Amino acid sequence: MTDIILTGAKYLIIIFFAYFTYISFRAQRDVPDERKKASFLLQRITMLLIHALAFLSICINIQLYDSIEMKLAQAIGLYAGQLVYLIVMSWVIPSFVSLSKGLNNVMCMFLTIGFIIQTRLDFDTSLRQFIVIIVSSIVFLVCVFFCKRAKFMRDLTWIYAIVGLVLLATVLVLSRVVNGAKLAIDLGFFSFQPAEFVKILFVLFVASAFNKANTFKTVLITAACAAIHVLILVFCHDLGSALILFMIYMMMLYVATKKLLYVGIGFAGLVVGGLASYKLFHHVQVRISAWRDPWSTIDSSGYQIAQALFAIGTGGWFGSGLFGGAPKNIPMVSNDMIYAAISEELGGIFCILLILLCLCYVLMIFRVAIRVNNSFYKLLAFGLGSAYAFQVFLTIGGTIKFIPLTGVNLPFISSGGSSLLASLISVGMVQALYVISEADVERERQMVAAGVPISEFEGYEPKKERSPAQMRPDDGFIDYYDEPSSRRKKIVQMEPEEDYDYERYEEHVSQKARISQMVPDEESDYREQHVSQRSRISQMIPEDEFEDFDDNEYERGIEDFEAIRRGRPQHSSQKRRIRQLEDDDF
Amino acid sequence: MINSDILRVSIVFVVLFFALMVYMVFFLAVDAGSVINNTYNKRAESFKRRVERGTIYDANDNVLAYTETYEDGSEERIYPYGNTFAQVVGYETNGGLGLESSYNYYLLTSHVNMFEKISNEFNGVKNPGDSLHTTLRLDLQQYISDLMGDTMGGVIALNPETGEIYADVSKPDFDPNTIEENWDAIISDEEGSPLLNRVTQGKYTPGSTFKMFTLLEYMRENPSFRDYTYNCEGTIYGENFEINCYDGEVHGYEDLRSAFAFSCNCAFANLGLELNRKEFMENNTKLLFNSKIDIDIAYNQSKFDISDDTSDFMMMQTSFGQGETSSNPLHLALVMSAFANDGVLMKPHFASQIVSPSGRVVKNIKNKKYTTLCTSSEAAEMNEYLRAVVTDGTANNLNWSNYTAYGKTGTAETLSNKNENYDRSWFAGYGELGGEKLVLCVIVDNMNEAPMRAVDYAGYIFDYYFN
Repeated sequence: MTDIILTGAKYLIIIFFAYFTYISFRAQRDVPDERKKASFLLQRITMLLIHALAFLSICINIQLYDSIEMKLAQAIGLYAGQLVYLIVMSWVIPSFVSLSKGLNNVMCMFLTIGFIIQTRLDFDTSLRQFIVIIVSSIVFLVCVFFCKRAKFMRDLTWIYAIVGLVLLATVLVLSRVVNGAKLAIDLGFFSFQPAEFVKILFVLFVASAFNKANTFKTVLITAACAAIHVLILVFCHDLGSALILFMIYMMMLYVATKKLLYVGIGFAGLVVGGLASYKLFHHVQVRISAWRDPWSTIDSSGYQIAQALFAIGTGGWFGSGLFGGAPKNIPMVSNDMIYAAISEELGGIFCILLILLCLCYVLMIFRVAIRVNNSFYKLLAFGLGSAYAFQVFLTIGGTIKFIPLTGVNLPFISSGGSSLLASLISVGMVQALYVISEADVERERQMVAAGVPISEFEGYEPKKERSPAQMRPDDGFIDYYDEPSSRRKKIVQMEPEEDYDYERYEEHVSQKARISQMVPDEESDYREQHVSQRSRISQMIPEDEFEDFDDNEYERGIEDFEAIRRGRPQHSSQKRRIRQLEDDDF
Repeated sequence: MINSDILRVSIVFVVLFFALMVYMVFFLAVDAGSVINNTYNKRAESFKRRVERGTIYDANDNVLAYTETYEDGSEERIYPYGNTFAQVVGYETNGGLGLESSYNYYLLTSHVNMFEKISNEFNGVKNPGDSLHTTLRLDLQQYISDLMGDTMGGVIALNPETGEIYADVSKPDFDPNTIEENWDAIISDEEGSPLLNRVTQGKYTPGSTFKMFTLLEYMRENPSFRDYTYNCEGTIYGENFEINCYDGEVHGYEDLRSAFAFSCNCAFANLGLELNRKEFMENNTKLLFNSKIDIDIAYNQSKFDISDDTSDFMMMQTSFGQGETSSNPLHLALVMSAFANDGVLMKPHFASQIVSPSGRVVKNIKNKKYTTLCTSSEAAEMNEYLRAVVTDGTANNLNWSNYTAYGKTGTAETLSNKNENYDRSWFAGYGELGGEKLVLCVIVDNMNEAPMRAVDYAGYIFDYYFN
């Protein structure tokens, strides 16, 4: 009987998680949140089911095997606490506070996976992790409220840089070497890893510097500052954080300046720096050789990665089920190597879905960056998103031997207080930016309704006119909802009416598509429409008035249609006329 | 516009994340099988909970190892032929040995169909593991094992045209059925080291069998090698040393063929000095010295080291198989099987098929070429000389039989721990009858206590095999 439950739970968890990932992507459609209520509800339900099934398996295993140290009461107590937390975090809070429910649900899913795998690995760690998450969640809420209002944040440029560098310098001076790297400052009750927060401070610094002035001087100053950060981290032997910081800077530099040249110089620097550190630092050589061939050094430096690969390979596609594997053989399994533990026990399929879900999360953050208007907020959201994305890439890629191991955490899932707190602060900021971006979009809608000219919108950039030869077939026919806010104004210009009829507009778009596909005459609604209109006209209009009908005007319209269908270059003036033709009721 | 740049960067991340997923899928689908089949992976226990270990068969479907499950759910691994296959089939417990260890993953993997698997999983029944079919031959293995009796040594028999290994006997041996009970006694026997498979893991001075390498090198460097002559007086003198022929023999006036047939140390020491040492080193590396051999069970590399700095004394010693050189029966058997097969070495293997419980072949280990050791004309010349050893020389006892034998004998002179003479007797060669060939390499570990020489054992084995 227990076999049936355990096996059933194992497969159901994978199915539910696949469904969750699917809904998460589907919920990215650009419709207002009100219309996605069902998706959000399903997300929460599947998440709670996964959590329940996993803890059911854990409890059964505790009953079956004496070798597990955890007590049944402990597991049930922890489950109850986490259940309350998950309901509050994913259900109660979003109904009182304005948040991106999609982003919030995915974050809660990550936390749930963390709860499950950490409890399986070690009860005490899991309990501590849970407490840290509760405290961090309060900080998260504070962050949401604070960042929404605090406009001065964008002006604190140098404060960010100085605080970040002071923190790093403290690590360099005060911390002891653990596992070959200086990472943490021991505060007695809490081991504090400043590098996690320095990433956020660094993103804030770069965003505000480029917000102030987007000049070559800014590039130089930020680059120097980035180099100091990276160097200190390299001296602390924290190569993972150094690499993440470098990549964040490159990405933000590119987005802020739009110059690929800088990125090219940056990567050339990375290659030189990489080679130099390979020559200079023994631990870099060890990491690289362990990556290239862990099997020949399986006793020493290759041990960790080899054990991770054993775990992933042995677990296979469906995993061994919770407590079915031996993830504790992997050194640092609860933080750097958590991905291998998940893969061994919950399955390779689960883990591939997890990569997809992380990607979904990254795209959600980038979307906030696209929708928000202010350039500081844009860069901030973008920087935080890239930091998350790159960190995920480093830790998963390192664990599966796709790239050398750098020893960074998987955000929200790995154990480690600083990492969790930093992750929640960062997502708190993104949530605040989401609220700001929604307000931006709403204000734009109202301004459009009030007939405010496009040039007065925040962040307006006049668009370069294309010459007729460069015209694309769909110029001027842009789907309102598919476009980022700044391009919406173009459409707005064309349709200044107060009550814009979207359904009718979409009908036009579909007709346009048919034209561009060159549908044969017989099938074209256009043709029929005109024929029917013509007959309607002839029916409706008294014969004597019919003489006044401007035949030339009508013929010119027909010519234009023919031109488009034959694929001639389409000129905006032609199109405008076509639209008038469509809209006129003759 | 800043938004389009953000979109571009997101495309970069989409590509990176998809690369991760593709790599992960690739790893699980392709690499995982061979990666996790590693003795450092301590997870076999987790397989054992779900899979009943598969059976091991010989070439004629005789069961060499199987798992018996009792009513109370406990399992026992049974080896019906006890000591006979001790090292080659090996055991699964105590760290594993032999084929049981190297095919651990396959034996603990079940290829029953998906539905049966899930149904077994729900019913709490173990899936039957895949079975391993080997190229070993029970009758030959048993004959050799009985023939050797208590004599320390090793024998390998293989088919040079396919690379299939028919027998791998190493003495002293042990009973894998009681390995756990007798573990302490077995590992404390340091002199006999029963766990050591002498055929693949031995590190022996090759003695006169090495002369075939020297001969081949001399042939390669001197197209007029047939003109070589030497007058053996039983001793050859260097600046401050002397080298003697084995057992104080004096071979007199001889050409290369008779020097090889009678295994004249002085002649080989003499022609060794003429060799290009760098080329010798390179050619022997191609002849599998100092290199890994891709084979199913643990293998220790043969060692050979000559350079321009090597002293003349060492060079002369090396040329007739003493010196620092070390080898093992598998290595010599492989070189011999290339001579028997026009210079082409087939990939040596023990496993022939992995078969699922329903009889489907999961993995078929084909006979395939491993590498080419020499040209077919070199092989033909070598065969002429190897044949002379049988017709005229030291392996004369193989001459009066219905099969045609080729080979080289040897005696490796070493000192034991107690500084006493400790000789090892070698034979490497092959027999041919009606187009069928069998390569044999025999080593008798302690010649002083053995009833007969390696070449005599080889004679019995050839007789048994071909009749």
